[in-house]
Amino acid sequence: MADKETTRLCIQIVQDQFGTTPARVAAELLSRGRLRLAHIVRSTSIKSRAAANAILILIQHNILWHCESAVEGEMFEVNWEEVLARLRFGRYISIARDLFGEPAVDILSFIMDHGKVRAGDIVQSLIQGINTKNTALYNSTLISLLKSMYIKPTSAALQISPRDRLIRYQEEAERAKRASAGAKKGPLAAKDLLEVRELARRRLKEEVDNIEGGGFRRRAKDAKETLTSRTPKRQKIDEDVLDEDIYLRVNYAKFNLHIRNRLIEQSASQRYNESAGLVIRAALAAALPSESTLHGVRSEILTMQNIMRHLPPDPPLVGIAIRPSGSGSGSSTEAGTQALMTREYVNILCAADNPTEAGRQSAFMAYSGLSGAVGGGGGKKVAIEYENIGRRLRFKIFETFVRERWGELAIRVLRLLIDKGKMDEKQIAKVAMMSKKDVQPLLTKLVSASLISLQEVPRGADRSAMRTIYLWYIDLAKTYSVILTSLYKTLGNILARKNAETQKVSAILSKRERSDVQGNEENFLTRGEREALTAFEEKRLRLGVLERRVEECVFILRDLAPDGYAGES
Amino acid sequence: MSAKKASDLAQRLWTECRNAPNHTITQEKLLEAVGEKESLCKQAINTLLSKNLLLLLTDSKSGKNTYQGISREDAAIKGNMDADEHLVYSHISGSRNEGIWTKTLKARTNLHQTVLNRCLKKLEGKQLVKTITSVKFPTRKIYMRKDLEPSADVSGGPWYTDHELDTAFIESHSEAILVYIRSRSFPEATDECSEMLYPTSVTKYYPTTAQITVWLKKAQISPTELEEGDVQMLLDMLVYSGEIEVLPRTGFRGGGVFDSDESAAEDGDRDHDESGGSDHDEKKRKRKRPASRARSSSSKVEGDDREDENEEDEIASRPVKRRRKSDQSKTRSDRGQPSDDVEFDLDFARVETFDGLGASSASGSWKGSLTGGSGVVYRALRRERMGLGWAQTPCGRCPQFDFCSDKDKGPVNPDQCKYYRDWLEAPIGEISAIDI
Ligand code: SF4
Repeated sequence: MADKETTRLCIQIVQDQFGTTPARVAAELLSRGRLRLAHIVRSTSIKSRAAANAILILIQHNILWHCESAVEGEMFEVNWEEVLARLRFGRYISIARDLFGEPAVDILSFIMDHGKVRAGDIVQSLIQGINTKNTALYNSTLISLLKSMYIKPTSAALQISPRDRLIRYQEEAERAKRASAGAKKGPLAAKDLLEVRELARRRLKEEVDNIEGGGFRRRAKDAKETLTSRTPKRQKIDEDVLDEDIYLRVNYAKFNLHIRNRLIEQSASQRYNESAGLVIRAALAAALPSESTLHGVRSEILTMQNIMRHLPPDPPLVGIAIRPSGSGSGSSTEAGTQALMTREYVNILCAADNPTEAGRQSAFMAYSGLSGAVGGGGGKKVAIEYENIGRRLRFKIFETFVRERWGELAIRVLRLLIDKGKMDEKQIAKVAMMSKKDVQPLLTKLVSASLISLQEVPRGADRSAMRTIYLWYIDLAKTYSVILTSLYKTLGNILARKNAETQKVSAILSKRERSDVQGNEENFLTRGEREALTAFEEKRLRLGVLERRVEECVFILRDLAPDGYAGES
Repeated sequence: MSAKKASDLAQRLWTECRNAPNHTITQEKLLEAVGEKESLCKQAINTLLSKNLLLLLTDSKSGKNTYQGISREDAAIKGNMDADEHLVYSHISGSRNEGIWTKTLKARTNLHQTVLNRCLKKLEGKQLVKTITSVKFPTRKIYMRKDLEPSADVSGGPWYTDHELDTAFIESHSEAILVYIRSRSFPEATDECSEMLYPTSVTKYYPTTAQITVWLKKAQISPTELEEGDVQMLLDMLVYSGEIEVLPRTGFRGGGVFDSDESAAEDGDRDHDESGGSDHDEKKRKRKRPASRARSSSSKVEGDDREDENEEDEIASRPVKRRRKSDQSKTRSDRGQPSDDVEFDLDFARVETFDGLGASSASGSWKGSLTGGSGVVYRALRRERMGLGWAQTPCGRCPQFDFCSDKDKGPVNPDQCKYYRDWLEAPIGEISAIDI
C-alpha cells in the first residue's frame, strides 16, 4: 500500500482527472486498502449508485483491481502505480508522435481517454470524430502500434490483482502437489514449496504474456485461434488480422523505455559531449527492439557495426582530439573518421581508461565477450549497462538534491560516508577537511533530513553518552525512498498549487467557456479579465514544466530501479 | 694515580660513549674499549655520572648496564637542575616534538602538583621548555622542549592557522587545483565542438599529484608551500566532492583505435596478450566482413609504435604526430581498398595554462615525477544536471517543506505559499532551470 505522500498525490490526480466522487472513493481505498462497495458507501456517505459509477469509471481506466474473496465477497483495490503513470500521458503521446506521427497521437489519446477500448471501435470512432481522415492510415498505424507493443491487449483476468492471482495459482499448485501420487501428509517440504512458487510464478507470467501478446487473429482457415506467442510467428504475422473484439490499452512499459533512453542520452551528452550522446543513442536504438520492460541488467550484446548502422550520418561525430589527415578521397575518409570516432566514443562510454571499480561504476557500456573481459584487447562487442546507469543516475539525483539544499560540503560528507562506511565526526572532519564546528551542524541537518543515520557503539555496559562512540553512516536504499517520498510530496504541492491557481480564475474561465464568448473574447472579457487569464496561462505552463521535471526525477528513482534499491552502495 | 690520568680516562670513556651508536654502549664493551683496570674505570664512570655526562641505563632485554653519553651542553643544563626538575625535563624532552600534557606529566613523574608547577615554571624561566596548543586538544596545556617545532600532528600541518582549520586557505587551494585540473582535462575547444575529449588511450595530459604540487608551488597562491602529501589530501577531498576522478596513468591500451602514446614498456606480457587478442579478433572480423569499411585502422597495438616516456616536452611545443606505417600497409592489403586508407594524426590542442606557469615552464621538473609517479592521474568531470528540475522547485529548497500541508489547513500550505508566488512571478530569466 502506498504511503502518505503517495496517497495524497494519487488522490489529487484522480481528483484532477475524474472529479470529486471518484477521488473520494479512491481516497477511501488508498487509505484503507481493500474495501467492499458497501463499506465505501458507508464511510464516504456517497450514494451507492454514485459510488458504483465511480468504481466503474476507475475500473475502466485500469485504476482499480477487482478482487473476489470467498469470505468477504467482491472487493476493490487501487493500483497506485497506474494512477501515477497518468502523469506521464503527455510524454507518452509526444513519444508516439515522434515515432508514428499524428494518427498515433489520435489513437493513443482515444485509448487514454477511455482507459481500454475494443480494438474494432477505435478507428471507427476516430473516423466519425474527424471524418476527413483516411481509414487505411489509421488502421495501419493501429496495427503497427500493437505489433510493436506500444498498445497491448488486456482482458478481464488482468483486472484482478496480480498478487491475488499469484496466490491462487500457488494454492492450486500446492493442492495439485499434495494430490499427486507419493505425496506425504503434513506441510510441504521446502524444496516442494519452492517448486510450487516457481510454478505459480511461471503460470502468472504465461497468462500475462498470452493475453498481452495476442491481438491478432489468423486469417481464413483457422480464424478462431489467436496467436499465443508472438516471437516465433512473427514472420507470419502479415497474414494476421486485427482481432476486433479484443480490448486494447496503452503499454506504459514500452514508452518508459523511450523515456529511459532519452535520459541516458542526456546524461551521456552532459558528461562527455553531444557526440557521445549520439553514439549512446545509436546503441540504445540498436538494443531497443529486443526490449519490452525496464527490467534487465544490461542490453543485448551489440556489435560496432550494429551501433554504426543506427548512427545518423549527420551531424558527424566530433569532439575527440584527433584529426584524420588522409590521402583518400573525401567521402571515404569521412566514413573512416566516423567509424574511428564511433569506436573511440564507445571506449569512452565504457570508461575503458579507468578499469577500477569506480570507473566501472561510472561506465555507460561494457565490453563483453572474452577478449573484452581481459583488459579489453580489442573486444568489439558491447552491452549497455542499464543497471549501472540507473544506479548512477539515481545517485546524480541524490547529489543534485543535496547540493542544492545543503551545499558542496554536504556532498563531500555524504560521498565520504558512502565510500568509507561508518565514520565518527572527527574522522569525517579530517578527511573532508572541514572544521569540526562546520561538520557538527551539517551532520545534524542531514540526519534530521533522514539522509544519514547514527549508530551508537557504547564502550561500557553503562551506555553512558560519554563513553559511547557515535558513528555516522548512510543507507542509500533508505535515503532514496526518503527522497522519493519528498518528490511525491513536491508533485502533490505542484498539483495543489495548480488547482489553487485555477480556482482563483475559475469565474473567468467558465465565462470564457460560454458559447457566446468563445472566439469573441475581445468583446466579452474586460481587459482585467484577459490579463488575469494570460497570467494564469503562464503560471499553468510553468507549473506544468515543473511537474514534468519532478516527474522525471521520480522516473529515475523509481522506474529505473525496477527491483528496488537492494544492494545499493 | 694522578688526577690528570683520571680525568684523561674519564674523557676517553665519555668519548667512547658518544661515538657509540645512539651514544649508548654496554658496560662490558665500554671497558673493553678503554682497556683499563675495572676499578679505575668505575671510579671515572662515577665521576662522569655525577657530572651528568653519562647516564646509566639498564638494557631491557639483557638486563645489562649500559651507559649513554650526554653532550656537554645537555650536561650543563642538567647540572643546574635539581632532581625534580631533571625528572620533569627528561620527560618533556622524551616526548620530542609531540609535546606532553601536564596531566600525563604528573602521572609519569609522580610529583605533587605544586612541585610539578614549580619545576615547570623554573624550566620555562631557563628557556628550556615552552607550552604549545595542539589542534587536537585545544584545551590542554602541553609542554615541549623550547628548541623544537611542534609536529604536523600537533600543529595540524599547513591547514591550520592559529590552531583553527583555515577553511578559506583550503578552499582557495582546492579551487585553484580544480581549475588547473580542468584546464588539463580537456583539449581546447574547436570550431566543431566546444566540449572536446582526449581519447582513452591518452592520459598524459591529466596531471599527477606530483605535477599538481609543482604547479601549485610555481603558482604561488599563498606563501605556504604544500607538500605532495598535503596536495594529496586536497585531491582526495575533491574526489569526494565529485569534481574530479582518479584514473590509472596507463590509459586504455586494448582498444587500438589510436596509437597508445603512453609507454607500456613496463608491462610486457600484457602487450603480448593484447596483440594476440586483437590478432584473433582481426581474423574473425575478416572472415565475417572482408571489405569492412568500418575498419579504417587496425586494432593492433604494437610495441614499436610506442614512444618513450620522453613525450613531456612535446606537450607544449608541438602537436603530437603519430604515424602507423606498419599497420597502414597491413590494413591496405587486407582490404584492397586504397581509397579507404586514412591516416590519423593525434592533433592535440595545446594545453593552456595560466601565465606560462605549468606545462611549458614546469615540464622539466615533471619529467622525473612522471616516471616515478604513483601511477594515477586526475581528470575533471563535467557536471551533469540530472534532477535539477526538482532542486529548483520552490519545494526543493523550501525551509518549511516538512511542515507544509494542505490537509489541516495549516499556516504553511501549497495553495498560498509565498515561495510559489515569488517563483511564478519571477521573470523567466531568473528561473534558470526552466526553458519552456
Ligand atoms: S510551503 Fe510552498 S514551497 Fe514550501 S513545501 Fe509547501 S508548497 Fe512547497
